[in-house]
Amino acid sequence: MIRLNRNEIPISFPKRMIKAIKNSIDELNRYAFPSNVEKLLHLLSDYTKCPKEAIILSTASDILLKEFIYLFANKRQILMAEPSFFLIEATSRKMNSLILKVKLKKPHFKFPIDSIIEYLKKPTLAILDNPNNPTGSLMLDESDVLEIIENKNVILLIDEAYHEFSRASFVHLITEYPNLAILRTLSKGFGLAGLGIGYLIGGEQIIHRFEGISTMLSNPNVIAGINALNHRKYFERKVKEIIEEKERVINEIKELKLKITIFPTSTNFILINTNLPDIVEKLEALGILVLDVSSQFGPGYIRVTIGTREENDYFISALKKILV
Amino acid sequence: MNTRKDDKVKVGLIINPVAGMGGSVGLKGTDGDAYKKAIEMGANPVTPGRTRELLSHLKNKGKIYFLVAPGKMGENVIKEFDLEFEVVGNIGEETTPEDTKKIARLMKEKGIDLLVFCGGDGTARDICDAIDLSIPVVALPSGVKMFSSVFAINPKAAAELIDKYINEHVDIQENEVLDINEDSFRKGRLDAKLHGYLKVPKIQSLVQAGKSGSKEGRSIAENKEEIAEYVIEKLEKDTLYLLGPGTTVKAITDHLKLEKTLLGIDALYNNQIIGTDLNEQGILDLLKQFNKAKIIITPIGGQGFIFGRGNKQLTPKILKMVGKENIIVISTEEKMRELDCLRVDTGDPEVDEMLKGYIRVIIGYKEELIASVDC
Repeated sequence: MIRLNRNEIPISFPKRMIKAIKNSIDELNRYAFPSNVEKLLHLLSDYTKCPKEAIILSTASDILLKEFIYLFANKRQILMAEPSFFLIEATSRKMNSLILKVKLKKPHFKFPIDSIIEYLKKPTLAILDNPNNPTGSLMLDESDVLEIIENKNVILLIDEAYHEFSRASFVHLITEYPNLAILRTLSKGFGLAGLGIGYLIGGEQIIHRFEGISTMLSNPNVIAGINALNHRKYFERKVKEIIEEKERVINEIKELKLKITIFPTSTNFILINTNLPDIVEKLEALGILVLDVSSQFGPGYIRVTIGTREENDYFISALKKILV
Repeated sequence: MNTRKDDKVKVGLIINPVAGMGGSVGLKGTDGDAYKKAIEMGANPVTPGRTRELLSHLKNKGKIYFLVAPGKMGENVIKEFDLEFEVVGNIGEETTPEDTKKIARLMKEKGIDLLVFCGGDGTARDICDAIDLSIPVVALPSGVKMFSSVFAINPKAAAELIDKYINEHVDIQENEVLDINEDSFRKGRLDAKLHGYLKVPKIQSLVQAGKSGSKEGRSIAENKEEIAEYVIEKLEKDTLYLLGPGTTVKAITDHLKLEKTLLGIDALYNNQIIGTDLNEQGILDLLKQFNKAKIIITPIGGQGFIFGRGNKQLTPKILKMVGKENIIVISTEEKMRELDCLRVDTGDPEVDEMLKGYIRVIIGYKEELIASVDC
């Protein structure tokens, strides 16, 4: 099966990195060494240009996302984009808060900031993924973010999971706005889906709420994270290649002149409207897994991850076979 | 789901032989005698071809026993295929809407599980009159006017719906059947009334939980129930509520164990129905009696109209009196997902302008969507 449904990047890792991770397997009975955790924090601080005291670590950014909602949703309405990363809604539904969704409109899926201004007067937890999943759009610009966080009633968490692809970030606003937090991961741009490290960057007011509930990290994950950040240039090259490959795939699909719509994307995946209700099943029958997002957009919509060149070519030929 | 006839699913099939003929010759429909004009202008039947396309895409042919209308209303097409069927009813040389209704009722008596029909808004109205909400339908679009939201996207999609229904991978939702005034339509005006509802299978939309691959979902009925619970919690005392048409609104009164007209505007006050199927004057009389009033409405039709389709009793005068801030829009999440925005067409540009902008739509229990009004 060709897996183009989970936004994993098609990558091989530097030999030295693999060796270091393999060596860490010998000590599976150990939690991560504090010195390694400190090393990882130092590297992330350098990468984000934020002090290490502003960074919380976890084995997955999903865990930090859920914790953030649990910690800050009480007595606040929760604001999110529609659609957005499934876990934002799924976790918010567990809270006893009013959920306010803001519809993103085709084709650019920009966040309509003017639609929510009046609602920001009430205590609000806003969770916005930028770039947005599953549309791939950069839905926020800096003026939008400032408009939101100028309200002291609001706590804003921006999920920048796909930051390495979009190069857009609001992490530089953290020091000035204590009500802002940024969520990141090494699972996408650094390819560590299998040995995850997620991290949250926030001001003291936010970081303080996480005190006493941090959990032990796994040693192989921390080693993987350290090595990934020590090979930044390598991963930056890989991301650049994926972005170029994405453009190639989009152009080749457009050249087929199929009756489909490809939406602009700043990530490693593409949202496509194929207008064919059973497209997911038809692709699966040809050995390709894509994400069915019909429940969010209507029949025929799929989210497709950029894979290897061979995988992408096979996907393009499958589309041609099904839709022509 | 009933399965009879050797464990096969009984599916009715009715084709409107004249639906869609007006399109190619530039007529805006074939209601009344318009189809005769279409024939004079050289139009050819459209529905047989569409039905052939649907039947050719069916995967579960062996699991279906068809009850089909006679001659050009279905039999002539289905006998081209290797399908098990029996003919139901009689027709003359020329067919009429009464034939559609009569045969649909006969099929209902014979216990069909699903009714497939091919036509446009007019055919949908006839089917609605005959079977109402008793049996789910798959509507194959083949008319000139297809504003009702009951129609499948195309014959392939219709075939898929039938296959999924047979394998029980569907939700059932009630979709609007609109009555389009053909004379107005010919003059370029869309004058639509809400005629009724039909049950339509919808392929189960499960929210795929991304990486984990696990799935969760709530049915359309559950969603309506949640909306009703939330609205009821927020109902204020000593406030008149004007309840618009539709099953999502009706779910509120069902929850309160009150009777409500499905297509009309009813009035609720302190959890009692104090007016049913009100016209403009009836509503104005009530507004004079009560200090506080709100309107609860749901989008009508596939284009998301909150005013101007199916609820024209809520005139611009009434909307001005109630005010935008007292309008409560409710909708299933399913419906809102497929709409880019909501629309208004009250007939008064000033009121349309008043309603434009953003509005909160209740889509679940403590769940609201901020949507724009007028794309």
